[in-house]
Amino acid sequence: MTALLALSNIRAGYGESLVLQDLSLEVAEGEVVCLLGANGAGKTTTTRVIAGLMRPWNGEIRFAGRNVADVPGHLRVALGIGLSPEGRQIFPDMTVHENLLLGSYTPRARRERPRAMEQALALFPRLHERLRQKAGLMSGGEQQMLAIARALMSRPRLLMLDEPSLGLGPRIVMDVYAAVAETARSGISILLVEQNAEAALSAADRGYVLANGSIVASGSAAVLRDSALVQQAFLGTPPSVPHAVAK
Amino acid sequence: MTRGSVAATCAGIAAGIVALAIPLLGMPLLADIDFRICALLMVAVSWNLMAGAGLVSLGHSAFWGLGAYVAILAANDFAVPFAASLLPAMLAGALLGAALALITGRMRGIYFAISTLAASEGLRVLATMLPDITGGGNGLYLDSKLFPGKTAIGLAAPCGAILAALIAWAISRSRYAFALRAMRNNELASQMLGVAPIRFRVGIMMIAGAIATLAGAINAWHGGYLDPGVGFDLKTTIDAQIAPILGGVYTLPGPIIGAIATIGFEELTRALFGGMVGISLLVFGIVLVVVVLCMPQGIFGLLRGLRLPWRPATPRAAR
Repeated sequence: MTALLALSNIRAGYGESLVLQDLSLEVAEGEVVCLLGANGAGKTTTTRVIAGLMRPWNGEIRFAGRNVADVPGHLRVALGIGLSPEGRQIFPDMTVHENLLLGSYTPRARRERPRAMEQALALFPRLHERLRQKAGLMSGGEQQMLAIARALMSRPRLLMLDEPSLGLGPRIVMDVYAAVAETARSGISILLVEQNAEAALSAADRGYVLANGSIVASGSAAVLRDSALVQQAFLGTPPSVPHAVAK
Repeated sequence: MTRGSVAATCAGIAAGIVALAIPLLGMPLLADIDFRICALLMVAVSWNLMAGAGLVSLGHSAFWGLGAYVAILAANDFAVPFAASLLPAMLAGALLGAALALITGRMRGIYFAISTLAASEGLRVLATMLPDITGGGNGLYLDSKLFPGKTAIGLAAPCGAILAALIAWAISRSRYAFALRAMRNNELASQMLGVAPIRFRVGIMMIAGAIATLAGAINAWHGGYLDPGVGFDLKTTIDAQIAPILGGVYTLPGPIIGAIATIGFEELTRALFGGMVGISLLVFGIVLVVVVLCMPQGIFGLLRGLRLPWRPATPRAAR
């Protein structure tokens, strides 16, 4: 498998404070990769660096074999990097339909707009019912679906999802993750950034664990799920189960 | 087109014809009101264009004053006639708009507003500190040999207003209107989808700047006198936003209706309470507050609400 996205030795931060130190990760063509981390670990900063919304201090970002570190954010969309951002960031005063249309703003996406719209609405039938409604009036789960659908409207090769389960009830999380799996089956690479390790590991092929701005563990989803680090930090299993049982 | 938009188009064309006819009637009072409405309409449309992209300006007097100075200095120092003096003024306004857009970068909301206010105050101070060029606090009188006559200036204002309205209309019909609305809603998200905010900011501020300086330049010829306090008067900035807010902010007809309503209302309070100094302004202020509280969508919003059975016009989707 060739790497669609490869970050190497990324250092980035805001003002004086360093957030990402020496971060490297890869996402292969057609792969679902999750990036786990606690609050403040640097997950969202990573997505911002990849999407070009923030310039890293140094390091290299390669996408589809090309160094894109100097490509500004609004042009990375055209390269095939789609982001469903943290906090959804939908356009609240615009209708669901208008939000989706804006998703295919780039010339390439605009040409494929009818097909993309059809696919996005097939993926999230709920949005179909709400097309003429103001996006800001929808539930959190529906807004999350809209954010993902809007990112898909740009016809990305890599879809980044920043905390898609944040603030959603378990049922809706399942719906959202079903759509993620469906998207992955269509061949789009996915970088899933999550605090919800259980959901993310169930959907991902591979994962990385981010702590204090650098990767502290990586491996296949199965390996990560069983690792003591992930167990303790994210899955809430007591540190020593046998001991608890013995008691 | 819906029945509503046909009616609005007809009303717009009729208003344009009336505005152009009034200076030819030889009625000074009416011509003065017509002139003031048209001048205000230009700055109101300009302000609304920027507000529509999420750029709330508190510095429209910067454009207005710059236009006034460029036009008068071009006339006095280089004997440039009326019509020709408007071009360098608009060019200067476009350049100031571009410069402000680049300097303010990604600033939004009050930070952007304060920067524009600072720009306007800065230009006022600059005009005071350069007495050799601007006449400083003593001001400047327009060279009366170049005065093109009241009718010519009276006609220029409605021409400018129609031009401003047409530009706003063209933008509202283009697919850029969609991107600008997205920027107002959420600039970061619009960037993530491929909109280049800085490009739109520079573009819209150049257009808005040129329109507002045109108004200032025509007004300077109308008045014939200019000093830093007159040119960079805060009242211009305030009026530039009162009109669109009163008429219906973010809408195409809003600033047009608002400009007519603002001047009409000022005249009304002056006629009723003119004898009592300050009272007319006080009444104007109170009514304005009540209007803003009771109709947040402005007069246009109220009108649109009235024809509910016709189904309100939905904004056009991007093409």
